[in-house]
Amino acid sequence: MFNMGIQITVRDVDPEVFRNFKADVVKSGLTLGAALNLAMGKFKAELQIKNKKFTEWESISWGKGTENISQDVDKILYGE
Amino acid sequence: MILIDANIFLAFENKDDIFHKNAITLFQTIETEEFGKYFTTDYIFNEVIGVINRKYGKERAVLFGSHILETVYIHIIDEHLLEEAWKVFSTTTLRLSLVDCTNLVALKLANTKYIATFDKEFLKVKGIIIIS
Repeated sequence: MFNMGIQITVRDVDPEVFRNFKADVVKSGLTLGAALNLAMGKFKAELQIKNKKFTEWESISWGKGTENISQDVDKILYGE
Repeated sequence: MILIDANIFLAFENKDDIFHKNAITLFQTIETEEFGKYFTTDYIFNEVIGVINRKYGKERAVLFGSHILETVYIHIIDEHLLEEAWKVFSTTTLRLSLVDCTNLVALKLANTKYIATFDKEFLKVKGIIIIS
């Protein structure tokens, strides 16, 4: 079924973000409207409410010598 | 919105971490949504899993990673954000990793100043608010 779509005016759009977005849309071969539909769908999916709480996690003891691990992420992963 | 950094997740997970109690209190506050919705990024997620995998073991890394995926919104750093982060990383005089720079552009994109972190280097960054 053919869907006419609607026309909208959007305020407070960051001009640089929009320029980059439009350039990407042109590269992708989509129309601006089609790309916006995709972006809105992705936004909705990403904001789906999570049913579980993070704080339900049961922490454990990692043992002696692990007290500073949260401070040593770069050292552990990148050797800095 | 508030961005959660890797050190917060790691301090929460490890009862022996010097910041464990702070991380618990902090997460309880964050879950009240005092700072709005909370999120992290795929780069941070990668760091958390990398550290647990290396320092405790893969089984625990998988369990904790699954829990994060079930409970925390993860923003994906795409090409555009990476380019922006690269500009920051290339020009900053602060001791920020590339991942730290992706945090800054993710904050900008989410239109928020709040970052939950125990990393003191972020205190030197203007225009953001450290929650710890």
